Amino acid sequence: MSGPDFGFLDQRAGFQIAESWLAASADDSFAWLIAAGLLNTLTVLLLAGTGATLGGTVLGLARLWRQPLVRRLLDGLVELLRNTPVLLQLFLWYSLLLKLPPLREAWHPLPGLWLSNRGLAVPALHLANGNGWNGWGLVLEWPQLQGLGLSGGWLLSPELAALVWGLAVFHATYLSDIVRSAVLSVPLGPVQAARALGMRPATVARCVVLPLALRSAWPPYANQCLALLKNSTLALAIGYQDLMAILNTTITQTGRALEGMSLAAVFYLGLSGLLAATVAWHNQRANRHGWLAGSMARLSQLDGPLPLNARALWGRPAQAVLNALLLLGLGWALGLGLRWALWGAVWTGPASACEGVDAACWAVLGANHPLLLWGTVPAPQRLQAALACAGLLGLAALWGLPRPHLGWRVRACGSATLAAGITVVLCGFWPDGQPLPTADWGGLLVTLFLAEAALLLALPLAGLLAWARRGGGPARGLALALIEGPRAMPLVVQLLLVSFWGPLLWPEASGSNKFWWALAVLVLHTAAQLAEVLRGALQALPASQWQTALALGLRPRQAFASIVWPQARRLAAPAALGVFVGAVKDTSLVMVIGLFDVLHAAKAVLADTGWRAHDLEVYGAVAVFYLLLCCPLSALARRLARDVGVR
Amino acid sequence: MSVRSVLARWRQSLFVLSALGLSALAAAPAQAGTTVDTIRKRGQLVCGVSQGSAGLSLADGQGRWSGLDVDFCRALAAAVLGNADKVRYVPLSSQQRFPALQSGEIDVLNRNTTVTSGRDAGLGVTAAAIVFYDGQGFMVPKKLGVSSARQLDGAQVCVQPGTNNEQNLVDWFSTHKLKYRSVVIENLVELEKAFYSGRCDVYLSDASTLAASRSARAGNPDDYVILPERVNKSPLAPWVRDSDTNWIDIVRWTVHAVVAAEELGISSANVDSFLTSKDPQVRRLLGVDPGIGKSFQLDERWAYNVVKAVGNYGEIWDRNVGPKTPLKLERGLNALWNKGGLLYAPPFQ
Repeated sequence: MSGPDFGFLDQRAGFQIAESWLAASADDSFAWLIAAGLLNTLTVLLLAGTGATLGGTVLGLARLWRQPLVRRLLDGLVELLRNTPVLLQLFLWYSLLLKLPPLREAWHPLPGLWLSNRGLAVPALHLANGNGWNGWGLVLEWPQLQGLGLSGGWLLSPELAALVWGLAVFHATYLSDIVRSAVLSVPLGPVQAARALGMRPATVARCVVLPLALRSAWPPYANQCLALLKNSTLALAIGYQDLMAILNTTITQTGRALEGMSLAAVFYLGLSGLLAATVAWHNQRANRHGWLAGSMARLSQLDGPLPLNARALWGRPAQAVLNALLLLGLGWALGLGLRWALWGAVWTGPASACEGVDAACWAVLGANHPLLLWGTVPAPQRLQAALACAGLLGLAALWGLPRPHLGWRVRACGSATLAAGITVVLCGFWPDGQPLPTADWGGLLVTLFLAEAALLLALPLAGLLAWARRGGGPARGLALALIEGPRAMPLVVQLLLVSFWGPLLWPEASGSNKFWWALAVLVLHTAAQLAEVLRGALQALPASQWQTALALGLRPRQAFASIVWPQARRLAAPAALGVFVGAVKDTSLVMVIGLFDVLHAAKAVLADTGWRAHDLEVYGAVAVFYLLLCCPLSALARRLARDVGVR
Repeated sequence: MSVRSVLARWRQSLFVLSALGLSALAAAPAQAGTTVDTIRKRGQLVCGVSQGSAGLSLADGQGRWSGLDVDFCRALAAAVLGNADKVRYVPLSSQQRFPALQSGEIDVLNRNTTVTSGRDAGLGVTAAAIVFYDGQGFMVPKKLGVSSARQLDGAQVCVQPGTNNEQNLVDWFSTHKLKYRSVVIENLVELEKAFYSGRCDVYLSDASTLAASRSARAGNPDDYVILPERVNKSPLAPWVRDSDTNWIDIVRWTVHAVVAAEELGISSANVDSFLTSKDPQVRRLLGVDPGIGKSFQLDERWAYNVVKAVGNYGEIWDRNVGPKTPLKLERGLNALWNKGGLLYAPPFQ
């Protein structure tokens, strides 16, 4: 195989980009179209980033509002959105937008304004060489029906709208958590001092709470910005042509996969580098004035439990009206959902049984359950896969379920036994036992194993990376590369890069090792993010505590273990929970390199012509699966934060 | 942290990345032994297939792979190993397919991949033999009142990226001096949803895909028409690496063997009765008279094993895409040469 060859970049591209700020046609070069794709990525980043920041701030503050029902509903909504893969959410938003009327029946309330499932068309201002006062002038161009479509004006396509909205909503849920925990981590002392000085609440919020909250919010905020950039690569799935989509087409057009993916890596590294530099600069400004001395009390102490009882719900008239409206809306939505999912649903039978039924077709799950659960694991070995999955779930339960009386020794011994059991089952260590090689793994086994192994291995690695980063010398450089590299590149790009470069680096190890490469990428990706979260938490601790501990004669190790670490852990928990949940959902991306995980199996079911109409049911089942996986994780992390807080 | 330190950090990352790249170039892959030796030693054929394409390669509800491309994987396993079940399927995206073949991750790529000169000459891979003559076409809703693709000016076209679709679309519309806007969606389910909800006027894809989609997705299949124009030729083939000529021969002649079997009237059901045939063509093909197997370095009964396991071309067609399947495809160009099609097996001698 010859070396990389980027000569294709100035060849004629021969394909067209659907929407772009640049004038790009099929006759332009690949390089020009890639530039147009880059601009599209930046557009998404800017729009969705702004939306997520505004939405996240509002949502975060709303979740601090002391209204029991509102808070529970918002928490539930956030949990729902955060614990399902964003790709599934994008599908949902896009399907909703496609339900707008077709162009012939477009909503046309004002001249020049058309809303249909082709998008929102509005008049556009053009700088044109017309009959203006000195030859040049602004020309207003009206959208018009022409031929089969609309021409002229400016069109917001449903693809871009769904992508921006979906990403903004998804990341707003994460940002709301960051905003909330940042506000709650503000020291109580300065706030009380400000109140005592007679400042009004708004002034306190602006002059005291905001600057202090920003300090601990910056690092996780930067993480979210990077995550948004990386998630924008999902554009292709709903038809918006961003950088990644254009590079994908370039690769299939030219067959230059290695070159195309390396370009993607460089572009995303560059974009993330710019983003990181900007945020780092802000972070430095926010932290310019050194650490706050003193008080351990934080605003979180004021935010006690919020019981859901009659007095809290109906105590005041305004409150009663608000809660009644909320409950009514909830009941209505629940009724609609139940009618679709339960009463009208078809539960068993072939694909033909579901024709013409205006409700859920759960038969699709029954008929395809072996594929959905086990992928392409050979039938005789499914029992092995099932046992291994049970072991993995047991392992998760051992560490995750609320069993305070289980000591760490019990947990460690139990884990070792289960791990050994899983190994025996998968390797077939018994008479006539057949090993189940990773190349044959599928469905639940892939998803569960990757998720658990990634979390388990990422935790120590993250600590190591964060520690190495604070040190000096070559270890620091390596840690920086290992943290910033994986954080900067979309996971899809990393997986593809590794799957392209890997076999070239180790030709003899190709094939079955794709699984382990995927795992390595996932581990590093998770660890890098965790390391950053840890750093953010350490930053939020008053430096005086460290100095006081040393002055009291504690050794640095003791000071770290008994003073710094417990606090850092509590502060890091909410953001770390986000990273954990993200890691579990990220396992759904391994299908891009051909691993047969649960989402891949779902897509295989839907590729079957007979079942293709029932995407809502299949994707819904996958969403529920991820919810089941992620919600206990969220609950565990919440409990962790609370436990440490009470002690 | 200052901007400068961040930049310094990136310099380090880039340094690591480029070092990685250089070491990759230094370690050019060394293919040890022939592909057939590797397959025999492994006891398994590793076959690259699609991530889910109805009729061609798709894992069914029980997790078993089936389809026309899959049957050719099985045929190859039967030819080399004597057992059609000894195949490991590697689902690949369209970006991954050629790198997977080039790197040696798979032995053969049976992933509805169109033969083009650029791929054959430029990527170090070879299209061994054509197994399916397809062509891209347009599907439109009948209520659009369009009877020819030349009336599609200003149309919104739904198209899946990753094949030659996008390029063909540009070529066709610019040749006919028509304007269009595209909606490019990778996920087939979403793409079809966009088309059937009216987001697009036109759905561009292989005619086989269009027919299958219309019969499965459209509320009333008669509401949609597939326009008579074909945008391009789209011959699909199994692909192998350039370097191993023996393996290229085996893949090519395995395809020829199933076509020859149909020409001679041999099927999986009656192949045993042909073992006593007096026809020298049959005797050479099935290895009753030895010679051909040895020249391929295969068992003399290789073609017998192939036909016994997967049947002749007609059986493969009927099982996966024929009139009794959801795709309901007529043979058309894929009929034998003496029945108006293009399938033609060179002589086995």
